[in-house]
Amino acid sequence: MPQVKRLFSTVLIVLSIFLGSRALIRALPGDPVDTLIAESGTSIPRAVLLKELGLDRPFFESALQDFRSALHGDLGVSLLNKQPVLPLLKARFLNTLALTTTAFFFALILSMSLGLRAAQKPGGLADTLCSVFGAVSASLPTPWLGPMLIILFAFWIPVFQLGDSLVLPALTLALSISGFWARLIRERVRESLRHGSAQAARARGLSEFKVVLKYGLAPAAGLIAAYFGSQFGALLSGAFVTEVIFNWKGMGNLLVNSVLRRDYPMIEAAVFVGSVCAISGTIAGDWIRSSIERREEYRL
Amino acid sequence: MKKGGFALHTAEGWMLLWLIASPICVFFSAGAARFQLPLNLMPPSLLHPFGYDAFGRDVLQITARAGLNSMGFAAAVVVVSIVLAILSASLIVAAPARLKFVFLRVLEFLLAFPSLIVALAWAAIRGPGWSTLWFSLLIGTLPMLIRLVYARAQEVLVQDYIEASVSLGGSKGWVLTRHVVPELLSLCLLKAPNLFAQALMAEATLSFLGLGAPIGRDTWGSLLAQGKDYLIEAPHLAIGVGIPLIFTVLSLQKISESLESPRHLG
Repeated sequence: MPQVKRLFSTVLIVLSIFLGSRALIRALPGDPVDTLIAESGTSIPRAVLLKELGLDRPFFESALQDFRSALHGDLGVSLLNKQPVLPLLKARFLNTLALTTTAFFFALILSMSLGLRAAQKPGGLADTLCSVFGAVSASLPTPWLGPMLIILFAFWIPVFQLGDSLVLPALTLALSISGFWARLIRERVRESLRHGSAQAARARGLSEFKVVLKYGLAPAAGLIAAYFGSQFGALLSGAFVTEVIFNWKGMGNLLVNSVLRRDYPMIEAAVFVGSVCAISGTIAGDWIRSSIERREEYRL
Repeated sequence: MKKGGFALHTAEGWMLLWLIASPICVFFSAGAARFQLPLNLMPPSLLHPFGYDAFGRDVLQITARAGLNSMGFAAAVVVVSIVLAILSASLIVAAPARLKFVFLRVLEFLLAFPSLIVALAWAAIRGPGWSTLWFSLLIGTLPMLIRLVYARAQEVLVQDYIEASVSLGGSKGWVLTRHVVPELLSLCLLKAPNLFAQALMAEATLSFLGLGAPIGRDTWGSLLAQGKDYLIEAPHLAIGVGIPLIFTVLSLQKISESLESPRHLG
């Protein structure tokens, strides 16, 4: 029963992340509440804080209570603006999702067009371009690339408006991941093109484009899809930095600001949601791969 | 390796130049960088090709100094993570089956976990500083390295000469230290340039977010953060500071590529 096993381990992972995120505040050095008051300078009275953060009860008891309220959609109250955490987190999460999805499609278009063309002709122009692009995109740090794109496309050649435009942050994110994607697609597709079936299809007079799609990309699709799924976590982490650079109102920006301003209920909730997202990306990738490759398993 | 020979030499040259030039640069600036406030945010000139920063410091000079910090830190991370990876991989290999299962599941869990989020959580507890940097870099690089090293250890353990050594009366510890660890070490050394580049990038990212290097210690990341603050008034700041980092990472990639080419793997 691989499905049941997988489901079980997923539930276990999510639960342990929940417990881990709830334990964060207890890991503060010294007395957590004193440290918290000293560092955040909050005006909330000590007794209220103790109760609010569940520090007046043993860990598992308060975690159970938190779990129950989390099921009812209550993830706590922010220390900074005393608002419930969940609505804000939800809005920010949707913004991050919009950013990562756009970046994902940018990267997909970029890496597919480059990688497939490079796979067709080893040693050709596209092949060289793919290698160079891969190396360069892997060595451009996001904290440098983002500001450069701002200078280039918002000041020197004012194409995009800063602030509300999704294009520049998505482009930053896409550029930093698509180099490796392009190389991955090139390697995998070239590998599957090496089999005789591609040669046979060419002999039958199929157009080169169709050959690459059907005999190059399709057999490798499972592995590539699984990789993309696992990249979702990386995309999310990359999005954090990009959001800070472009002041995009997403979850990463929220988490970084909460960490810098010590808003623990918000940190706990954001850490939980962010890790669950990243891990479900990995799991989804695995699932896609196994469902695509099941046919081959049965054949054996 | 005819192809790419020139690029490889350039890469090696760059690293060598950096290794020699940055200590000299720091040495001649004698202690603290000079603050010449009237010169703040001066654009690049012939004598000062990177211009001046917001505090009137020569950007080339502080970049060199920051590079020393960043590179020293990255080198330390590489050494520590290689030692830890070999230790834990040997531990997993030597462990009884039930413990091995637990170790491997934990490893998988760590691999699936987004390291930046863990780093942020850690920063929420400890605050920014070297400990946060250490922790987040190790959590980011170590699980992957351990898995790699562990896989290699399994490969080595089924070799004939291991069997020969065991049948000649070699104990578990003897086989590990005598035959397995040297193999693992050579694999790790192959991966070292890549790890180094990864550590540099991660340090730059975290310090950029204000979660890395402590205030007052310039690293490439914190200089990038300053560059971002003066993006419109003084774009030379953001541009110049990133260039050494980019060239270094590119060079490391090139070097690691040539190390991993079939010639070296034999």
